[in-house]
Amino acid sequence: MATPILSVEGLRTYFYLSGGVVKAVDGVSFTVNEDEVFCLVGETGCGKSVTSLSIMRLIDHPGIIEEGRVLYKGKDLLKLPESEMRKIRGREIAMVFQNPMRSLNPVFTIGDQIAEAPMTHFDVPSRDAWKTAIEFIAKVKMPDPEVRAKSYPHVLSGGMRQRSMIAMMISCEPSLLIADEPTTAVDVTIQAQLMDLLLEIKKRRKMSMMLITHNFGLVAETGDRAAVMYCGKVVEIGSVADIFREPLHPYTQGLMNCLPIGTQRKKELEVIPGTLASPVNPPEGCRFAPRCGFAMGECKLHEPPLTAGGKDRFVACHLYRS
Amino acid sequence: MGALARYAFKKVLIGIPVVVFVTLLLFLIMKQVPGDPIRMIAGERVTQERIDELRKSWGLDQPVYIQYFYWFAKVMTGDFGYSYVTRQPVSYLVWARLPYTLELTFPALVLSYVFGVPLGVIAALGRGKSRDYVTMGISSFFYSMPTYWLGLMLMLVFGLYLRWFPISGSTSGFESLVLPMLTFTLPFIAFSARIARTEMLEVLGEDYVRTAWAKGLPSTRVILRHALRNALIPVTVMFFLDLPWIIGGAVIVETVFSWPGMGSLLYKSILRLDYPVIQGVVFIIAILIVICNITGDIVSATLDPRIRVEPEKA
Amino acid sequence: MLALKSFKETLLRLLQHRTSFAGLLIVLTIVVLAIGASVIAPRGYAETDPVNRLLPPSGQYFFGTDVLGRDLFSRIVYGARIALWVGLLVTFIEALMGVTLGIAAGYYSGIVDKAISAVTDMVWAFPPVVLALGVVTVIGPGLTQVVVAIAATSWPAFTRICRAKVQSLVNREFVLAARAIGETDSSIMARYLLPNLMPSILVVSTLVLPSAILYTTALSFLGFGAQPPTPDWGAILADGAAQLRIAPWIATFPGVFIVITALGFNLLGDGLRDILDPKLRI
Repeated sequence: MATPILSVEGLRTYFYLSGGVVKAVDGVSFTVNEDEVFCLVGETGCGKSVTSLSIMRLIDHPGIIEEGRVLYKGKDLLKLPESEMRKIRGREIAMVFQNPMRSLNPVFTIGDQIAEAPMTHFDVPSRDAWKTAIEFIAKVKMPDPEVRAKSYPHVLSGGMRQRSMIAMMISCEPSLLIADEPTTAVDVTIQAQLMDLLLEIKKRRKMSMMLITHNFGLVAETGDRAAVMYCGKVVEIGSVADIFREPLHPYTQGLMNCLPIGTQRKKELEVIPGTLASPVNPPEGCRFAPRCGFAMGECKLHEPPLTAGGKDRFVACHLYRS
Repeated sequence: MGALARYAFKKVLIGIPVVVFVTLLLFLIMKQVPGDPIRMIAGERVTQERIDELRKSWGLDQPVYIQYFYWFAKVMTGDFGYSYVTRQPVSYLVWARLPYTLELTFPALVLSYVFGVPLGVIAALGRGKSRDYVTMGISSFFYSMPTYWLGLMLMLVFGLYLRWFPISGSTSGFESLVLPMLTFTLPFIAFSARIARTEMLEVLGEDYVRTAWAKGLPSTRVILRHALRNALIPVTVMFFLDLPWIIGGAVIVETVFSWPGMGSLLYKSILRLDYPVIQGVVFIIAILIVICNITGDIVSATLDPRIRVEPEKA
Repeated sequence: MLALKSFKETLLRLLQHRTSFAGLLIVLTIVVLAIGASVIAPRGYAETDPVNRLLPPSGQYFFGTDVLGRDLFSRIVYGARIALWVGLLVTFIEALMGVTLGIAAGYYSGIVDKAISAVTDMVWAFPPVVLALGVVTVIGPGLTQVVVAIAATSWPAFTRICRAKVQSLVNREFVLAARAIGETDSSIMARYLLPNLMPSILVVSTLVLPSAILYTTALSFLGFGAQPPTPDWGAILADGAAQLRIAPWIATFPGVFIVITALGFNLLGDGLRDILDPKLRI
């Protein structure tokens, strides 16, 4: 029986810009279980990154987490005082970011940057922390760890920088690792290596992983369960096997159709007609309705809530109600 | 240290032609100016012979580039020629006044940064809140102020009405320094606060600061160690690059307060078309600019590993 | 590229933004003052009246009179015209020079870039007051001469920004595409690059103008700028300095107006920058 480790309920995060209010995350709910790889999938701009940042409470002006609950091991993270949240970040829940070039501080060695987290969370003296840093550099499979530790980020290649980020974030042995598009900014060959590394780390430490990506191939290869997001909302949740075999939501179906599969070489590439709804002025009712081939009258009036569509399956679509 | 020293040496080498170029340009321009300095020295009722004699003795009958060459050679030995007006050696005039200018400008610059940078950082941290608006509002006010007017107003209030400080000259020791220094410092505090705020805001929005928060580091560490350390790089470099600009302000402030520094010397020399002095002062300024730029480059290389450490071909 | 659609939208945002709104108000006031000078000023700026010299501010002479009995208020109001006119002229010349050089440096790179950058850096490093004094020494004193002198010192602000922006644009597809269909360099620069630079140029202009006013009045203060009886604010201040003990109002009021004018443009510029190009560093 799967035990949940993270439970997001009704999360809403809005950004107040001078041009209007951007409802980046508008009622998102899902659960991540222990010891699984959970994928948050969707197009660029659907709100998946903002969701992860909201979980970590790293949302800054002009964004505000409006409402919702984020339950981690029984505690609602959104209600914790900042000092408590600080102890969770890096220690219990860690996050690997997308762009390793910009995510590492250019004026400190990576050894210093890796050593910082254990020094903060476990009060490890700096000399021991440095040794720990070297250990973790070895664990992320970088050659010459002692030398590497003294390097500055800008001399490293993209793949090595991402490994440094991973080392930084697992140095305190978190229970949940959120990886926000960890391989997007890296070469294809390195992508495979990094994903293997992440999965190995997950297995060895019995860590849960939440993978944020727009790459369905990655989801198919590595994911256990997944949630599909569209325009700030979750439209479908289920095991990866189920979703691929039988996508329920029309958007998911559309996405599956778009995937070029080897056996259909001679056909034209499929597309989903239309464009994303505006995050400032989303349409009434279902957000996907304007582009949906199955849209009914009700779809334009009422937003479909996320309802159960089978065993451990959820879908937000009027087609599946009643 | 080897890499840094090589970097510095390279910069110095580039600096020399700059100095030559600037002074040569000045030399040539000065020669185009209407008005014959010899006539100004000699006065009205002098024979043509005497004038030619004088011209020869000052070396002004040679072609321009020869004159420049001689001038530069002499400068290398510290001889800047003689003032047309007072007949004193230019080097003496400049040397006597340089300390006054430094005494005024250097502390002003240091104080401006010491007060201005923290103000800017505080404004950046409190972005959008009242302390941001208030600090930047006051800073914009002083930043829009002409230095000579500020000087005059300070003179008016503190010198004439309240009689706290003397309003001209440098004779009363520390007290005479207060008003001119204040005139310098206040607008510059505003300037450095603005720069500090801009740089700090820029850094605070960087991804690596977000990484630092994500590691769960305490906010003092994130702000001071991760953010500020990066923001201070351009701020510190600007300190050195702004040093020459202070000289420009010095011309005005020294004139207003009758402060016997190089700035007022330059002003008076321009009024009197005293070319040797003008050339001497400008030479010093050019050297100062080159030194400051080099120092600024070296400092930025010291502080920023991206400049001094070469990426490997991994 | 920006998400702004039009002039109207910029104007609307400008009015909503606190700082730029304040700046806009101030600038408009000064502009009104300048344009309506002949109507607003009770007397001419050169009208001397030795009987009424050095009078303190009163109902009859709002800001008092100077050593020749001229009405200070009228002089200052006419001075607004000079300040704005000079500021605009200097900014325009600087923009013309600076933008052209900047685009050329960014577009052509190589030796053209190196040469332009070297000159730009040198001019930028030199204290503007000293440089301007040098130029004025050669071409003589006077308001026009001061305009030329100051314009020659601060154009690097435009060059640096334009160069940086052009460098980031020049490798983008639309430029490569334009080249591929055979468009000439100057056509590309004018039709594709320049429009993308306009917002930044506007911001820089708004921030350079107050500096121009501050420097030109400074030069007039030192005696190299406007010649009497032109009521340049800096020149009036110079008169005021001489009379500081006896008639402090002569030195006070022109400065107040300089500060207000410069402040107005600085606030407007800051606001414009937040709206149009927040990453701009100046």
